[in-house]
Formats: sequence, C-alpha cells, structure tokens
Amino acid sequence: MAKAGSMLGSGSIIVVDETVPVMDVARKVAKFYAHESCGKCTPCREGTNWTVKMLDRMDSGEGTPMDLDILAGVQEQIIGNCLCVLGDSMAMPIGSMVAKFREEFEAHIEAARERQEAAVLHPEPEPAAMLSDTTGPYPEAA
Amino acid sequence: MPRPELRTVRFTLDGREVEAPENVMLVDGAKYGDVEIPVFCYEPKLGQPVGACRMCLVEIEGMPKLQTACSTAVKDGMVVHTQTERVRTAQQAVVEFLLVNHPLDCPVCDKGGECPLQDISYGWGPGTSRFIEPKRHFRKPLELSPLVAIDRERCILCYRCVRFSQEVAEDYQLVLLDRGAQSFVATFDGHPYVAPFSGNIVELCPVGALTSRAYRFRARPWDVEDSGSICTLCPAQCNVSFTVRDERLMRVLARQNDEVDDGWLCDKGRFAYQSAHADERIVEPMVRDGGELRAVSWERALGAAASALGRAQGRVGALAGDGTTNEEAFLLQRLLREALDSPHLDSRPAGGPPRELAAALGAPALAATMLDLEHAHAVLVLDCEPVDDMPILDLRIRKGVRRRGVRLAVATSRPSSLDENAELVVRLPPGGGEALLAALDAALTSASDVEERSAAAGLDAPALRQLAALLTEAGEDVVVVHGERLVSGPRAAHAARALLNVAERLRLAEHEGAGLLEAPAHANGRGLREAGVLPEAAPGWTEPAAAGRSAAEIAAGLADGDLTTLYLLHVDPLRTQPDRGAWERALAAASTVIAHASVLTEGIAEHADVVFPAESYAEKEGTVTHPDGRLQRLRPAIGRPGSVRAEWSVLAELAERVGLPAGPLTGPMVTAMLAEAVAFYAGITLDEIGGKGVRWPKREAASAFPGVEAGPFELERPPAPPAANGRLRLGTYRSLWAAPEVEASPALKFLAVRQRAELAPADAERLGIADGAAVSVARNGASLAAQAAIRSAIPAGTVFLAEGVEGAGANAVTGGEPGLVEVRPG
Ligand code: SF4
Ligand code: SF4
Ligand code: SF4
Ligand code: FES
Repeated sequence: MAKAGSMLGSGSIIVVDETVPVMDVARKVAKFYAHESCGKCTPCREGTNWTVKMLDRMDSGEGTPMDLDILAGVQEQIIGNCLCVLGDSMAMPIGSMVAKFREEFEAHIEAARERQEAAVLHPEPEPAAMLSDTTGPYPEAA
Repeated sequence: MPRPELRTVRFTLDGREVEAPENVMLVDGAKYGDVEIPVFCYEPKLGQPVGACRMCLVEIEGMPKLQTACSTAVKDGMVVHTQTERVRTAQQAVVEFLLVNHPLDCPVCDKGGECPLQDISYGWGPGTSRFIEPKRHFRKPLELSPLVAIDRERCILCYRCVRFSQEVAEDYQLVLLDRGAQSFVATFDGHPYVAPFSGNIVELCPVGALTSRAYRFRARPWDVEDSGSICTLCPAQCNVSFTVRDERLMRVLARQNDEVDDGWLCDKGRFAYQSAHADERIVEPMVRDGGELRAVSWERALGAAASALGRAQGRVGALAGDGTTNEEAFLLQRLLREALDSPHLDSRPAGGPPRELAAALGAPALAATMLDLEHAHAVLVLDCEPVDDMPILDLRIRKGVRRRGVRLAVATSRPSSLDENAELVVRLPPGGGEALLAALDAALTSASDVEERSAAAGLDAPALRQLAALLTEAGEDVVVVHGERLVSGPRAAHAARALLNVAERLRLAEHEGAGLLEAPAHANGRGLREAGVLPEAAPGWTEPAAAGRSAAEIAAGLADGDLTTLYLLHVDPLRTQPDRGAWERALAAASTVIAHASVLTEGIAEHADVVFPAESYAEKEGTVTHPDGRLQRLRPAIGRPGSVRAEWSVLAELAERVGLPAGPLTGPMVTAMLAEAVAFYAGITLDEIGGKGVRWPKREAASAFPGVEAGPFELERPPAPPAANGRLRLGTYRSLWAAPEVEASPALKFLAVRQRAELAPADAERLGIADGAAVSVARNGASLAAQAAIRSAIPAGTVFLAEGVEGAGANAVTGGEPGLVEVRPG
C-alpha cells in the first residue's frame, strides 16, 4: 500500500471507476482532510488548506500545469512532519494521484481554462467576499 | 521535596560530542553545543511542550521520522543531526507553511525588528513562497481586552497564549475556537480577557498577533533602550526590564529570574509604568502657603522642613511604606533617631509583635524562598490572598500544585482564588488568625483541647485536625505563606507566638526547603524592618537606645499634642493606615506634616505642609529586600522629571540641616552605610547584588543575626469574638488594583477599584439588600458607602471591604481592628 503511495488508514478502501475525473476525487479527498485537520501541527493545518485552495483554483480554470509541481511539492512537505498521520493520509494519495494521473490533471486544467476563457465574455458575478465569517466576537476597534 | 539532581549525559550533535544535563529537551541540550534549533511554540515556562509548530524538527539516528527537538529529551548516546538536507527541507517547509496565511505586514507591525517569525524566516526559511492563493482574513485589530489588541491574521496558532491562560494563570479564559486552518484565538465566552496576569500573553506571543494597546505604534526596537531594574509596586519585587525611548518609559517586560518571578509580571507591574509620566505627578517641591500647596524652590522647601523638624526635637513621628528603598529607610531612621531624638517611626500599618518575636519570625533559618514554594511537600496559605497581596506568589503556588504535586491548604477568612487548587480549605472568621494558629498548635501536639480551642475560634475541629494531618503527613518541606495582617494589631505578640509554635512543631527552621514567607503590607516591608523603620528595633533588629511609638501611638500622640510633626515617606495615612478617624484627628492636630509623594492623594493634599516630589520606581537607585530575604538592586532607567531629586539625598540633606552631617554622599555610599549598620547585611555591595539579587540568609553574615526568643511558648487563650447581635463581622482585604499607580495610569483606569461590600446571600436576603445596590456600612458612628456584591462563597455573618480605595477605604470603619459592623441598604 505504502509503495503505491497510499495507506490503509482506518481500513477503508475507496473504489472509483474511470468515469470519475481524478480532479474530483482529489478535491473530495483534500476537502475531507482539510476539514478534519485539528490545526495543531503547521504542515497539516496549512498544507491541507493550501492543497484545497490550489485544487479549487485549477478546477475553476485559473491553474496551469506548473501548479501540479507545487501541489506535489506541498504534499512532500507534509509527509512525516506532523505528530499524527492525518496530513499524511491526504498527502500520500494526492501525491500519487498527481504522479500517476498527471496527464488527466493537465487535460482537466486545460479544459477548465478554456471554459473560463469563454466565460470572460459573459462575466460571472464577483467572487464571494474574502472576509472570513469568523471575524470574532468583538466589535471592530474604533 | 527533593529537587531533581543534575546528571549530565553525552550525545552527538552534528558530529560533535556534547554534554548536557540529563532530561533537558534537545532544543536546550543543543545550546550546550552552540547549536540553535529554531522554535515557535516551545516555551519551558509554560510547562510541558506541545510540539505544535514543528519548527524544531531534527533527525535522530534510529528514528524513522524527524523528531521535534522541543519535546524529545536528550539521552546518553543519542546521535542528532540538525543540519542535514532532510532537516533543512523540513524547516523550510514549516516556514513556508507558516507564511501561507501570514499577512507579512511587518512595516506596520509592532513586532517588526524583534519578531521570531522574521528572524526564523530569514535564518531557516526558503526565502520565497509559492503560495498565490488568497490568504485567510479577519477583521483586525480587535480588542481582546482593554489592554491587549489581537490581530488574528498574524497568529501562527502556536498555543502559547492559550496555554498561559489554561495552565499557568489558570483563568481558563483563552481558547482556540474552530479547527484546522480556521482556528482562531478567543475567549471562551466572547468577553474581554480581563485577568490579573493577562499582559504576559503579549510577551509570550512569538508574532505581532497580540500587542499591548498601551505600546502599539509608540516605538520600534531600534529606537529604544532596555534598562533592567525591579518593580516595587508590590512585595513580589519582580525583575523587570524597562523599554525606554527619549527618557520615557514605553513598556515593561519581564526580566526572568526564576528565584523571584519565574519570568511573569502582573498587569499592574506591566502597565502602571504610565504613572511615571502622569500629568498629576508632583515634580516640584511644594509648601503650604495661605492654606494652599504651592510649588517652591528646593531651598525653600528644605528650609521649611528643616526648621519644622528642628523645632520639634523629640516630638516627630514618621511612617514609611510602599517603594521606600532600604537606603531611604536607613537614612530616615538615622534622621529621626540620631538628629531629632524621636524614635517614633513605623513601617507596619497595623503594628506588629515586639522586637524579639518579630525578629524571630524574620530569622534566616525560617525564611522560605520562592523556589521552596514550588518544591515543597505542602504549602499553607494563611490569612492572605496571594493574587492581591503579592501576585506572583499566586502563580508560583499554582505551578507547584499543578506541576509538582504540592499539597495546598488554604486557611483564610475571605474566599481565595486558590480555593479550587487546594486540597483543604478552612474558613476562619475575620481576624481569627491567631485563634486558628493556637488551635493548630494544639492539633499538632495532639493536645486534648483542640475541640475547645477550635470552637472558641469559630472553627471546625475536624477540619483543623485534617489540616494538622496534611501538614505533618505531606513531608518535611512545609511552607507557610501568610500576610502581614496575621501578625499585626493589638494581639500581634500572641499571634506571633502561636505562629512560632506552629513553625516549631513543623520543624520549619530545621529543613532547608521549609519555612515562612510573609507578604508584607508594603512593597519593601521586609527591607524597611531590617533597616530599622520600627519603633523598637534599630537597623539589623538591634535594640535601639530608646523605644519609640508605633504607628497607632504616633497617631494618638499627634492628636493629643505629645508629638507635633509627622514625616511621611511614601505613605498617605488616610489611605494605608487602619483607623482613618484616628489619622484624621492626628493630621488635623499636627503642626507640620512633611511628605514625600508622587501624587496628591487625599491626606497629602489636605494636610501636608511640605511636599517633596517622590521619584518613580523607574528613577530610583538603591536596594530593596524581597520577602524571602533577597536584596535586589534598583537602577534608574529614566531621568527624573521636573526638579525631582534623589529622595535619599533629600533625607541626607535634611539630616545635615538639623545638625547631623554625613559629608558628601553617593548612592553606593549609603548602601555601604546600611550594610555596615545591619550586621547580617555585612559586606554586601551593589556589585554583589548585581542583576539577580542575593539572599542574605544564604550569606555567611547571616550568622550575625541577633539571637531571638525561642519557643515553644505557652499560649494565652485568644479572646472570644463578641456576640454579633445582627451585625456582621468585618473583614478587609487589599485589592491588587487599589493603588495610586493604577489610578494614575490611563491604561489601567478601567480597573480602578470602587468600594464593594461583599455579602453572603443569606445575609443579603435578611437585610433586604440586592446585588449591586448601594449600602452603607457603619461602625462606632462612622460609616462608609459601598456597592453590595453578593457572593455565594462568602461565609454567612461576614462582610468584606477593600482597603486602600481612594476616598472610600475600609479604614473608615475599621477603627484599628476588624470588628462588627452594621450593613444597611442605602
Ligand atoms: S508578526 Fe513578524 S513577520 Fe508577521 S507581520 Fe509582524 S513583524 Fe512581520
Ligand atoms: S496569538 Fe500569538 S501566542 Fe496566541 S496562538 Fe497566536 S501566535 Fe501564538
Ligand atoms: S507582582 Fe508586584 S512586583 Fe511583580 S509586576 Fe506585579 S506589582 Fe510588580
Ligand atoms: S518548537 Fe517544537 S514543535 Fe514548536
């Protein structure tokens, strides 16, 4: 399992057939772990969050194939550097997905870019406000 | 408790053999090999490491994964690599990750220039970032409290502030909410983080996420200087470092001294520096002229004071307190005793036991240290509230209980904030300290009359037996922490004997790690007594040529004309002395009142005839003595404002003018005079005291301590408390915030104390008083307005008032000693 760049974790195996885009699988996995990260160790907290943001960007047509190198690098930076293996559990499969399905990712990025270019002619509404909801319990300092 | 012995281990660090103490964490062990391992979350003061930030990863042979050097102890034979490619890659990864969500607003960030994140990014980071996604955003800055601003974007989630709140101060207010990359620091209930030690988180935060609102944007590390001294705003005498810019104090930081403060400060010490620059500060000498105090020249003020003193030969009284240094104290007693033939001086607001007994309590063998508190088998907190009387003591006691399993017993009349940490809590009636000690003495000697004595004292006999059992069974190292109030008042001698008996039964003098630790009423209380500011003890607890009057007797003497002149060194009697009525009469009758003061508090404004401007503690030079016998050195951090002069020189000059010349003096010469006069300080120099202080009980000269009365004593039965008849028993306490320095510091004004009458729910109901309602507390015709505060922990039949509240202190109704008061609505 480890040789294949994955792990058995809780003992569950996810079966995905070839009709499902690898990008969707990667995003699903990354979002799950970013959501589950407790946030204590830096590499896991920031790495899962970064991975999600990158995948989302690629999926929305703002990415380039070079992003895949960063994505793979980020996964390497997580593995083995945290207290528990939650981060590893994301980094290993995402890392191997990039390695083994790179072409499919590249095609997905390319297709998304084209879609997005077409959309420039019909601009979508502004992206959601960047301000987080969790602005804290106190009124803004005067 | 036996202290851990230091053994050394050898390990290999980057190919070199290094020796380090056993069991230290690798981060610290590496320092012995001159290797710095970068850290963010590691801070040994906070207790066990958490290993959160992962900045300290190193390679250890035999372990497949990189290990966190902050939470791995060095072992014999360990082979560690900190400079390999693998380690470097991991370090760069962590820095890159930390900066992913970091705003990098260094140009406008208070931490810039002294920021571990900047330093570590520069030293160990990759130099570039590949992150181009949007960062996480928060509204910023927000008020975490009136003292601390929080910028959540800068937070690197290192847990330090949260651990401080949860595991050091134990105020349990700060938490990390949410999880993962959404985590943020907040108080659990959204209320501002207001707690006695909250300011420490600003210093702990390794980034600019937590900043002091009083310091924000006021200076940069490169245009300030640091100046080490001592905080003399309370008896804890924490070691501090003043940040100074252009002769102004900008902030106060801890100057860690494990034997004094453990690296913490309370918020008073951290923010009350502002009082040094307050508008209301007196910066020129003043003389009363046509009923009003007017600024005058030094010549005129000194002349007026000297002629008044000269006229009053034999009829002068003096009080000294607060931050008075040992040198000032010594010169004051010299002036009074030798030049004015008036041995009437006191530094204990409510008096104390006679010389032999007082000295016996201050004997070197009985002195417990701050470290002893942490390593004791058991600690008894007796009739004091550490967080108010000597705040840092509170943190030290908590640390002992939490980290070393110290068994804590609390015996106080007012509910204590340490109750929850204590194995045993005994509530005594206000003023019942002596009776408790007498009953404890009986319990410790298995005397047959424990029940009887306990009942007479309004105490629960089984609880007392339990207390005696705890103190004897825990182990030999027992530390008794008590307040000055325990051994003061008219029955001080009896209380002192009872305390000495208990010390004797527990063999406190025989065991190195056992002893007494007193929180005195004044910041330098111990130093003042040792320097001879007592009616019946000259410097070094020696017998003076003539005994003088105590504080209460000085008041009486002034009121009936036996004394005519009063010298006040940092004391406003209307504020600090019990029995305000007596002092009002005394001040009104005194023909001349000479005061050293920094602000015109009530008594000074109305009654002083000559006012000398006092130096702030940041301007003073000299020494003070910690309650555990440590002499510490004050060094001036800023120049004196206006025409303020060194106060010791004022005292020396006055002595000269009334015919007691000492020749030209310098500060260190006065210290030398003091060391000569106090036998057990012999030979101490400012150099020896240095930056960390020196405990005289540990020096050879301690053998010159005078012989003292030895117990055990036959104890007289304490008088039974008077019948209540519907009245309530009055207890008093001193709030940390009831201080002129707090009132004069803008940042702390929100904490200024208003008088509250703390009542038990049952009494409040019986008296028809609602929480927050206005009440009046009356005794012997005097009354005091207060706001009712109903607290369920207050024992029925008692009411508590704060001392030292400007204009509304409990001393209006104490009449010298706590007694029975009537509490009425309105
Ligand atoms: S915390 Fe440090 S790195 Fe961050 S903005 Fe402030 S100075 Fe810069
Ligand atoms: S606010 Fe500061 S101390 Fe607290 S977790 Fe964040 S970085 Fe650490
Ligand atoms: S505990 Fe006392 S000495 Fe320490 S900082 Fe606070 S006021 Fe100053
Ligand atoms: S310093 Fe070791 S994990 Fe933070």
